[in-house]
Amino acid sequence: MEPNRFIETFLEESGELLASIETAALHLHGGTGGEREAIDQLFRALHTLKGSGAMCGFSAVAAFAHEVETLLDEVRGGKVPVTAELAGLMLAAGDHIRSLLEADQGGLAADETVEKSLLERIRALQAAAPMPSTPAMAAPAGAAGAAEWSIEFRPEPSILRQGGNPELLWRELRELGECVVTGHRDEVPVLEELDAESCYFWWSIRLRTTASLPQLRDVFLFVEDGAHLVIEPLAPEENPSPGPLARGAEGGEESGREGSAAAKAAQDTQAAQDTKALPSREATVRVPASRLDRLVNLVGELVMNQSRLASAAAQFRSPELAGPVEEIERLVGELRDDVLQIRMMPIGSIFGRFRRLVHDLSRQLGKEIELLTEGEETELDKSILDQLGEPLVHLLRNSIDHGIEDAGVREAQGKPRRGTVRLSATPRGSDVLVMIEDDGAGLNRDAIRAKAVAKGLIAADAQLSDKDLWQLILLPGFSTAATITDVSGRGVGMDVVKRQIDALRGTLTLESERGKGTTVLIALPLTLAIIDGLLVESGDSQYIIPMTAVTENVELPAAERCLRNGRNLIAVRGELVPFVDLRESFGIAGEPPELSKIVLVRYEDQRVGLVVDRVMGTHQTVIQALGRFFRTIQVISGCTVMGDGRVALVLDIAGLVRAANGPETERRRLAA
Amino acid sequence: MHAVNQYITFKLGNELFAVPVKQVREVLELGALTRVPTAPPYMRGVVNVRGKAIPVVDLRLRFGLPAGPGTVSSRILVLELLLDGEATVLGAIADSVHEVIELGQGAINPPPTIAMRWRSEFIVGMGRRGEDFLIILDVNAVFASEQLALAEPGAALAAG
Amino acid sequence: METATPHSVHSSHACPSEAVERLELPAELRIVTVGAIREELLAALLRAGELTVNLGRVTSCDTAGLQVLVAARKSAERMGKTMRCVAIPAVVSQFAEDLGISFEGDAHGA
Repeated sequence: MEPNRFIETFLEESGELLASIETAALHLHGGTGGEREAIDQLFRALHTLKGSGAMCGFSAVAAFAHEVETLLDEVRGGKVPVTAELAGLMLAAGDHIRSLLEADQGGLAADETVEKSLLERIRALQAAAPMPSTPAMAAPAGAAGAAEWSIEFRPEPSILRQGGNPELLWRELRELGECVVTGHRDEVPVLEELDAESCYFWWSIRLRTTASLPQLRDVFLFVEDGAHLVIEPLAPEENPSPGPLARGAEGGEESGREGSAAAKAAQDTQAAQDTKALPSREATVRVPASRLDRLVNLVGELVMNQSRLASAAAQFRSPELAGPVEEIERLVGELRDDVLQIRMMPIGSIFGRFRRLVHDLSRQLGKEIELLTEGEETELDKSILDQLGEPLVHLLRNSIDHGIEDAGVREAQGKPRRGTVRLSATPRGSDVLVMIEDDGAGLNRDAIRAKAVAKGLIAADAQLSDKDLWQLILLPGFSTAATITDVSGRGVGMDVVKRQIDALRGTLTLESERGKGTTVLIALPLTLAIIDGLLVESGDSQYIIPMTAVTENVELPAAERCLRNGRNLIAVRGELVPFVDLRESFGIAGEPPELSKIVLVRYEDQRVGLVVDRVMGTHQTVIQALGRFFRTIQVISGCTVMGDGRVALVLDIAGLVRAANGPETERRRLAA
Repeated sequence: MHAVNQYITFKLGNELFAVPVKQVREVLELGALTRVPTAPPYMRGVVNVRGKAIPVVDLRLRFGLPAGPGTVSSRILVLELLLDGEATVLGAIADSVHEVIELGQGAINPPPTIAMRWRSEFIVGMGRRGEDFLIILDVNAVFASEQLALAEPGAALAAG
Repeated sequence: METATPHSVHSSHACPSEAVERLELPAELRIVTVGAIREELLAALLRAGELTVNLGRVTSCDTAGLQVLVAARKSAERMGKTMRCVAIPAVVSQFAEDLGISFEGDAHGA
């Protein structure tokens, strides 16, 4: 057998969990507030140790962790107070789990008397509790406050080969509550086609439990990579069976506790649904992504034809026609929003692989690194998510490899040994802000500067703000593999990352403070499928300029053009702005009109004018990709079919600015 | 018993080509195309086919032949390709599209390996239509390739 | 990777086609043995008109083990042959229940 990946992962991960137990316990001991978070942290750590321990065959660890977890659940329920004894007990429990793990790896057998005395201390705390304790995790079936969940799990095919045992997952789920596991055989091929060591089974599970969504996710922590995992709440029954519930009304204390549990379950349910009310027992349907794409295309055509219809109807001035046309406009708008909504997926769905990456890399590099993730529930269009993984992996890699210092170095600087990388996503208007923050060494101002000067990117005496300086490392060819690691503290191929983000119509900026860390901010649009655009014409070609890039449009009398340093410039209210004439750049035949229009667009902090014949107005643009045959085109990012059947091209502002400026001007701009 | 397949024949210059009917979604008249700036000349642009923008390639230029006159008989063959496992639709401009023919496997000869004017990796085989030879194209191979010219380097071409 | 020793999986007699074939599975119906078991099952199905798989010796079982039986049944169905599992030990039926998977045909014994 190849080495068991799950066990290895568990052992690695358990080290981190034990460290987090220690931190949280110390926090409790300090009594500086934030006990709730510390208890939650402890609970999660022990729960994971229990679940993964059982999964990987560390049954002693799992059993002991279960006891501690039970106690912690009572603390969370307010039944056991937070005391110094509790804090001390947690530290001791962590130590004991460490020795149990060492014993399992062939070390000295753990001291049984230690466990015995720890269990006694746990019992003592529980006994002091005002209410008799019940096993926390094994929620009584049908208990009030229990929520019902539907889980679908399609493991990575190699799960069995790598030593995974799905039955242990189900064992753990059954511990959490009333659980019906249905295995599906439909994907299993005939013997002739069977790769006997691959897993073809998949499972759907109904689970009734008081456990929270994160607790449920934790069960799958080690097998979620490459797997298809959907955990969805089913609404609580509207008319619950009278039996177990009636009991709750009898004792005040009891019903109070159940009340809070119910609130908690409701909260979790709420979080999982992303504030959308779900009808009772709503079924989910799996559809191939290609069908969704087709639906989006059809809606796009519908939107396009609707606008044709509206403009045709306007000519008739008929109330009989205007009414329904208006109504159709409203319906099409709703349909469009709903269809786009279907394609939205939580960004957390791609975070799993990052945990794995950080884990592997930190081990490889011998660094201590913790990955914190936030805003997993933030939604983005599926097509964006599909293309976001690669640049994020690159950025995380940079943070870990070049950002976070070795533990010894960190300690010497008075930083915690363990470095932190925080990956977060926050909705911000029509954008989503994705941040990768590390508390590492930060960018090296002088080194970057020296290198930029050496490469002729900036003048030796150029005055640059930090922000401008950081942007330099995004330029193609700034960093090379041989020199980067020791020089700038930021890695190779940032230009590639930048281009990938540009392609998603996003922006990328850097913030950094020497010694404190670096933050990469990525702002992404929610969707790529439909944008607001400005329709312009040059000759008989039509182009769409994404509205987000447009700052204003002005008339351009020919006299105000001038040529300087080989660049076309135009004076806009006293300021010289470089411009691109689409006629020239795109080789459009024919005579330009007397008076051209100039649309000012902004790309990052550069303003550029786009000279066009006519500005037609705003246009709801359903974007289609140009496809593989045009993949090298930088100035056009897509196209759209217009109401009259013609195809208009969507301008790629970043690409146009690059093409217009070229590296030459880019350099001058920064040197200026 | 050999399978009989249907092919659509088209001409580039004097040369007669054939592609399997099942890879041709439809044949369009050559109308207005939207040119994509900075694209190579053989990529003629995009065309709207029932609401979907389809890339259009000029087969003559793609195959390294001189540009064609672009006459009333020019057509766009809308091809369904499988490139790198991805279903792709592409319009291909031919000088003229002729007919649908049936060819049994037995009527298709393997491309000669030597003294061949056309790159053999793009060709399924050679067929006959009366006194004319047919070149049966492997369109997936043609468009998956970065190789521009269909003709072997230095091969003299009768097309034009 | 260990594989099952070939003699641990054996057919009792080499029958002419369309005859009843019997196959006894080894003690371990697990990922380490499924490769060999797959081959044996396939060969037996090709030979047999009707195949009886005896699980009497099986003492341990995992997901891959269960899966190979499911695949064998699918093969049998496709070949229009009958496959029957006999002497199913509790360890196997309990495991199948844990996984929520039936390894018998949908119509029992069909």
